[in-house]
Amino acid sequence: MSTISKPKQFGLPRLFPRPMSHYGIWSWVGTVDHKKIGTMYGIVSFFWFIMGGIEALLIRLQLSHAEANIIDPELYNQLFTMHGTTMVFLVVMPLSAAFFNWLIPLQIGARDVAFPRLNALSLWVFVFGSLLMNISWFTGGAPNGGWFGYPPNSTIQFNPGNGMTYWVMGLNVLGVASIAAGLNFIVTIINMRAPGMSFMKMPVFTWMTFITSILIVLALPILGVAGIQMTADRVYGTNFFNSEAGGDPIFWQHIFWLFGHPEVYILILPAMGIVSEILPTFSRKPLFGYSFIIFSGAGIGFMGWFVWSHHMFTVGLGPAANTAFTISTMFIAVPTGVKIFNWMATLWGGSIRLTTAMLFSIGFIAMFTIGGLSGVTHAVSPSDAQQQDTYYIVAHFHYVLFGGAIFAIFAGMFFWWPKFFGYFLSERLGKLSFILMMIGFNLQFAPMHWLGLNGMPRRIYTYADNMGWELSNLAATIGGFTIAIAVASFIVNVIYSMRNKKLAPGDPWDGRTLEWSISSPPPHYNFAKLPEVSHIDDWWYKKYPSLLEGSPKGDLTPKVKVEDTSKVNESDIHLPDLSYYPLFIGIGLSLAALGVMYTYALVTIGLILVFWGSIGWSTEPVNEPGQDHH
Amino acid sequence: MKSVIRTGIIFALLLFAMACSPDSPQSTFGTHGPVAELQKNLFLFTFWIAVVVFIIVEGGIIYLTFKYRKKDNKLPVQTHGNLKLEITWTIIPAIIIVIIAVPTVLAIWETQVMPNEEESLVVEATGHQWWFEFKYPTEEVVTANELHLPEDTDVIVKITSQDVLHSFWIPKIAGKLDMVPNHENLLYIKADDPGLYYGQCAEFCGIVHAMMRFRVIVHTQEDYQQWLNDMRTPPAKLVSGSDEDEGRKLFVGNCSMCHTYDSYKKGAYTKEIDSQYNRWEEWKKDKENSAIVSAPNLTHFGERVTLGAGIKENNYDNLVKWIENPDKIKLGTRMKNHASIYRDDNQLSTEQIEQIAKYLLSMKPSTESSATYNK
Repeated sequence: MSTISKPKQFGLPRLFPRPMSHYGIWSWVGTVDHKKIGTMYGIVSFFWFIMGGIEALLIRLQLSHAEANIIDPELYNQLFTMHGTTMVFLVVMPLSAAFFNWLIPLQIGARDVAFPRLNALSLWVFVFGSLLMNISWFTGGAPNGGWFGYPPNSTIQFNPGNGMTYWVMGLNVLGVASIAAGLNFIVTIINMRAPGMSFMKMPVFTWMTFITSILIVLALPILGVAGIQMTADRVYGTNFFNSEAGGDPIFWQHIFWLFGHPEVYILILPAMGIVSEILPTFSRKPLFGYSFIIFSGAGIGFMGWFVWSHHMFTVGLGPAANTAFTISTMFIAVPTGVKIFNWMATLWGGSIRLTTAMLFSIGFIAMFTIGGLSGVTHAVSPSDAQQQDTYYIVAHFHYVLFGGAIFAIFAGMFFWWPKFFGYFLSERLGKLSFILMMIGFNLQFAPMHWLGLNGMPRRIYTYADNMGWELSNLAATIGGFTIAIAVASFIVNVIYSMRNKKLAPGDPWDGRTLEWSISSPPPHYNFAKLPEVSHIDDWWYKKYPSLLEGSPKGDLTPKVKVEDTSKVNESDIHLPDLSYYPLFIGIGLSLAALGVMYTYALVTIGLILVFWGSIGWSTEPVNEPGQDHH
Repeated sequence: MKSVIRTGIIFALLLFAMACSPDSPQSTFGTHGPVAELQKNLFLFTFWIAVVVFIIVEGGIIYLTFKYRKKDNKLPVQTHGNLKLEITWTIIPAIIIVIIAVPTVLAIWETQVMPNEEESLVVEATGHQWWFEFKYPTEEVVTANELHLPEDTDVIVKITSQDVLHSFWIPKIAGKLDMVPNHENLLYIKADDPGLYYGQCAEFCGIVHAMMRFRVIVHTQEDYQQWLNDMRTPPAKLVSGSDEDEGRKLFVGNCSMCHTYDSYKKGAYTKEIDSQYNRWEEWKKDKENSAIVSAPNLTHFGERVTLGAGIKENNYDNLVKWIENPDKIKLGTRMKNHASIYRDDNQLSTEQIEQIAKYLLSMKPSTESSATYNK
């Protein structure tokens, strides 16, 4: 590095030495590396996946037979509230974020995201926000007003105690993490693509991340507004939603679903991106209709803003509003249908390898289709008046979010695990997980369609024995426990594969996109030399340039090999040093939010941490002077 | 492969066995009213279209997956897309959507435009945590948790809530509509056949949302008039010193602050509206300790089919259990939390509870006297 002295920079006195090592615990705590951040996102959100799953199992246990007395109604309400909140905000969103983190820089040929420390901030705010929400279990009761938090039932007037305040403060904090991450990925994707990678040459997963990030940046602030209003209502005595003082509870529903419906696409678009990468790889042919897939994804993201009131068909908005939202909701089925047909056409004429990742991807299309079709049936608002708030709806969105998002996330884990960690997950155990999950999933959620049509409302902790609901509920409970076994088999798979490492080469699946052009796991700088891109699926065509001149004749031997990193001179590569300031801000925000409920002393401490972190962060040099740069 | 197919068939049959049974009390398929009928037919119309798409797509996925399993190392034909095909499968779903949208939009307007109020029966349904109040403003009758309707009559239900959101739903007669405080929603319903129907709250409304149910009793026209008449007829006079009479005294002393029991009197209707409002205001002032809460009107309680808002059959044993400790049947009721008889210093003896139960069951229109007034 140069020895020219720079003007002296203002800096906060350091209480702790800046972590510099790339190994050991501090390298994780202070990391700004997108891969480590992605891994931590994955571990933490998988932990919440298990917690949310346990909540679901307790719910299923209570509903397994009529008039059951296993869980009392108050706890039951807490369980379904936290199950929904956890699965949406602490599982599917951050698991998707784990994939964004790991994959976006690798797929666009970059060394990291645009703002690495902001990325670390997103992670820590998410981690402590998720803890904040869940410590409510131990401080007098978890949130019990539903993941949708409808007032007046969620107002302080009808719901005293801190449960729903934890919920809304938790969402406020988590929103910060999501918005920061969304901005980060928008900037990263716009600015840091490898030379030659125009927008229409980006991998589909990158495209879906881009659209999702835009939705996050636009939708989460709406939840933020609603959240601040609800916080003010609950803590400072305002009356936005307090019907006793003339506040309007329907107002909440509008803003919540104006956020909430784009949120649904925030949850499903990354999943669509994942399967759009896996299907072509294991069919050994390009994705059918790349641009149709991209534009239908963008179309879904756009149309998602005009359908929110279909969550409110029975609120009494009147026939004009119901007509408008019925039609807009129905037409969102068109771009979704386009995607499904394009995926099928990708399989058509292919040479299909049924790996675990491929099985989960095909399972995704099959299950998501069912969810999409039931979605059309309740876009029909007159008959939806019978289905709204029944188990039919529960069945529908689990087909979309479990059969859809979670299946795709499992597909993604089996697909990219060798890339991320350098070894394969066991295919044999993986296929077992897939079969168990497929059976368990359908056994749990298919009968819920009948339950709903037979008039079983949602969110009831018990039901009478003469309603004709017992058999379906029992089947659903058995299905739920089958899913639990499937998830357990996945955990066993991870442990087994970690102990008996079957090492993966850099390009184990004959991949198509840039992440497969480097070694597995990737070196911490990703690409020793930034790649130049000239095609969609650039790595595929670098391997098989003859394909560019039409279909190949004879054998296919790759013309290039995965980047050899053994001779790379790392001192030529500049990466930012670690920083613990994002962690401070993450802790500080959650402490301040906790303090809102208890004492201003805690708010003060939290805010001091936030300001200290912010100032420390902004005055900290990217690289410590006098160090080797990595 | 064969075993896979066999398991699949057994699995499908099992699912089918659980499928929709029109006979179950809240089935949306066993309809007894034109609104539910229209909603069912519209659902089935969409459903069968969805079944066709389902078979094509799922069949296609399975077929393609098996047909194009990897056989050799040859690279398949590298198709990138086909504009004509893709435009086709953009347009076909759009056409299907239009086919579904047309009857849907017609149905929206058909079900949501109200008939003439003058020629219809108007009922006011108010949601409370966790029971339903039903008022007949023209007939000046009020009741709770049991909605009485004449057959083949246009009914406009004016729906609102006193506290949180609830939803008014009689699956066999019509789809639901939410009960929103400070807001009146209108629902058109019509019942085709006399009988007993189930209703249930469908919007999450707090701790015992699951136990907020009601019954709908559809009468023939004459029976309905008789019911109205009964609701204005006082009960028979109780024998002084009987258990029932002792129960009456206890009831008046301990329960009548919140439960009206004499709405058969002339002018009782407006009084009941005021009372419920005052109880609500009183409770709002101090939700923890208020001695008064909104509560179901118990006029002619002995005629009711259920107790606890559609939870248990209304008989002596259940009623004694209910009065002894409502929490054992329905955890979290306002009665248990606010009534003075559940305070340590003011408890009733078992005998007193039994007397109250006997009194409540004796509350029936007298067969000797006739209606105190006629509308």
